[in-house]
Amino acid sequence: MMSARTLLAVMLLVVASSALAQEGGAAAELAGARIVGVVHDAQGQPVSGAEVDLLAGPTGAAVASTRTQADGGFQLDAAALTGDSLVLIQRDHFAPARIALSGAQHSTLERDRPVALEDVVLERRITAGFWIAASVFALVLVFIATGWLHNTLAALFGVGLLFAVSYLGVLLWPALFVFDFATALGFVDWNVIFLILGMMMLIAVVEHTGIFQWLAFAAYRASRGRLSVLLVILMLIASVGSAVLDNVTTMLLMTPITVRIALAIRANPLALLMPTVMASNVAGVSTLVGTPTNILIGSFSGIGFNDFLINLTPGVLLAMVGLVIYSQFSYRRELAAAGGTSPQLLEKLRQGARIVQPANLRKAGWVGAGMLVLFVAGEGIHLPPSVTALMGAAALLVWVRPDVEELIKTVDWTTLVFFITLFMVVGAIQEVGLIAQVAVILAALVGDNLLLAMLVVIWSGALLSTVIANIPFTAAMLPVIGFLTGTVPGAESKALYYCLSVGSAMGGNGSLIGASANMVTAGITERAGYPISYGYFLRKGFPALLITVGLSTGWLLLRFLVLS
Amino acid sequence: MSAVLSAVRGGPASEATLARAAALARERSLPLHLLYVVNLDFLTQVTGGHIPTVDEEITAMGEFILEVAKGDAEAMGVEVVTHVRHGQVLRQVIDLANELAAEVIVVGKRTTDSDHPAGTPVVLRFADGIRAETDAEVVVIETEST
Repeated sequence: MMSARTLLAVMLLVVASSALAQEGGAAAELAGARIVGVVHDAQGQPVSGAEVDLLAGPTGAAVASTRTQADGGFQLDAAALTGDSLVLIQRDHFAPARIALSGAQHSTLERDRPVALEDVVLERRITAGFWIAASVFALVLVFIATGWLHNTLAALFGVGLLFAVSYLGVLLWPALFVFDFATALGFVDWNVIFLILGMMMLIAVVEHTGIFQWLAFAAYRASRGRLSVLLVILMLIASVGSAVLDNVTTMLLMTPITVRIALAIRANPLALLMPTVMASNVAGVSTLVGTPTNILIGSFSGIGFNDFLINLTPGVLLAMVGLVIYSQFSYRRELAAAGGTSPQLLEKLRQGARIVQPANLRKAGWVGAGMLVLFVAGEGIHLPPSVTALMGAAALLVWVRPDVEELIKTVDWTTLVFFITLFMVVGAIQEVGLIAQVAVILAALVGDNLLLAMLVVIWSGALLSTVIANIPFTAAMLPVIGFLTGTVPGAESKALYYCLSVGSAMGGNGSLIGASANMVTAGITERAGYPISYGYFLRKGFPALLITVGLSTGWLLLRFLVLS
Repeated sequence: MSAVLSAVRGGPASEATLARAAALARERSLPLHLLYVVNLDFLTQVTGGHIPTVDEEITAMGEFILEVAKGDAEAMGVEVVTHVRHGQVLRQVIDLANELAAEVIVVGKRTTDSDHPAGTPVVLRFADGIRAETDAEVVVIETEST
């Protein structure tokens, strides 16, 4: 019998296939008596899904109808046109536009030639749906920030509320409408979903091999008991793990073994773990797959694996140097106060820290290396990262032959559902025009000044990520950054996307709730008798945020304002 | 069979609780049973996967914490038995106390951590919960927090 998780996986595949098929069917031929045009909003962004009708004759009956495509373009068959006519363009959350055809245009159509209209600008209309979508988005953020609802439940609740209003509320008051199901589905970025799914399957195999536990103990041996050296090695391991896998998994697996090492050498585990989790948050920025926010940014902007490496790694290395120095200073007393080692405990530690599935680790290493090559080289052949991740996961699973039911259980389906529903919630505020309003305000604030725009994006991202979840923040900011990239001179280098990446991910170091890795680390250390309170994390993490974001800002300004 | 039972979390905050539990066990010539409860509820807020591996890792961490506590208690001349269980802490303490017919249960509460203002009422409710379902004497120890 098919389990609920398997059913969810099948549904995901079907929905994604359907979405891809719809995109492929958008192209059409242009010939004969046709009216073509492009519809965009006041910010110059294409308006898709607008209903375009050709009204003709004394009754104004529609003789042809179509909808605008993703690029805002449309074409109407005008072969049946007789007499005066006008083109009526309507879309929810916009005021309708009426374009009367001139005599010359009628003559052209009568000669069986196409007519190109001037670009049509639809003006936004603030409806009750605008306030509904904005309120639901704010509510979801509050639920996530306060922990009142699980992230996934919060986003699911938000989507449920939006649909309830859009389908049931409109029966009472049509202005409540936000979007329909098909439109909501269009906001889901399946590239992100499948990239995360593929990486989760890879991680599910790797995490059972004991590699992180073995590495952590190897770090202890390499340090020869010197805590300051051990700290640096642990930070490096967490950095690499976070850059190639993800920081939550890295910290989930490294925290328990690090606590054990600390107990064996009578050191405060927090002196090792706080810098380690901060390093994991910083290092994930350097690759496309290192953080969920980078996956979102890469998919939206088309920034590839190589671009992230080239444009962000130097800044990440600078930030890491700063973080290591800060950590050594901030924890100097704890690092100096380690009170000797227990041979019995160390022996117990050594027995537990071993590679338990060496064959699977080797296979995962080969597949991981192959994926890395495809991530790097795939851009040249238009190979999406999600496809690379899925191919890698499929190859590894066929090679390793794990228990599929067990594997399915270890995939974090709740996170995938979170992303799907979050895309819809963010799509709602995009649909009603809230994001466009924010974009206009930001554009007015930064003007033509790329330097100012970069500083605003980095630091607002970093500071806001300390109080609101950075994934919904990043998802909501992407269309805004897309708009600014088109309006701020020099931003076509995609500099602002890199700024968003640095701000949203490194900003996670500013508070306990700033990153999921912080919360899993705190959850585990609390169970070892070393709780990390909100205040404690703020005291240690916020200076780290200022240092790492400051150094990365310096690099980004150098890269995009001086070296470019 | 009777025993002194103490749930151990580890860390500086549990040292006073452990010392008191060991002292009681020595006074009454009873074995000291130390319990570590693995509870992964905190993970559900941030991740829906990973549970099998993390469960194993935190179980190993719990065994390690108990090993450290055992060494400290044995140094005070007490016979120590350790237990690792999974589930809700209160339920596991009650179940083990009833299985052992525990005479005394020692629990610790934080008193100075301003970041955990809810600590005191939580531990008092915890103690009341144990009293409601066991015949054991419950001793609440005030400890300094980290």
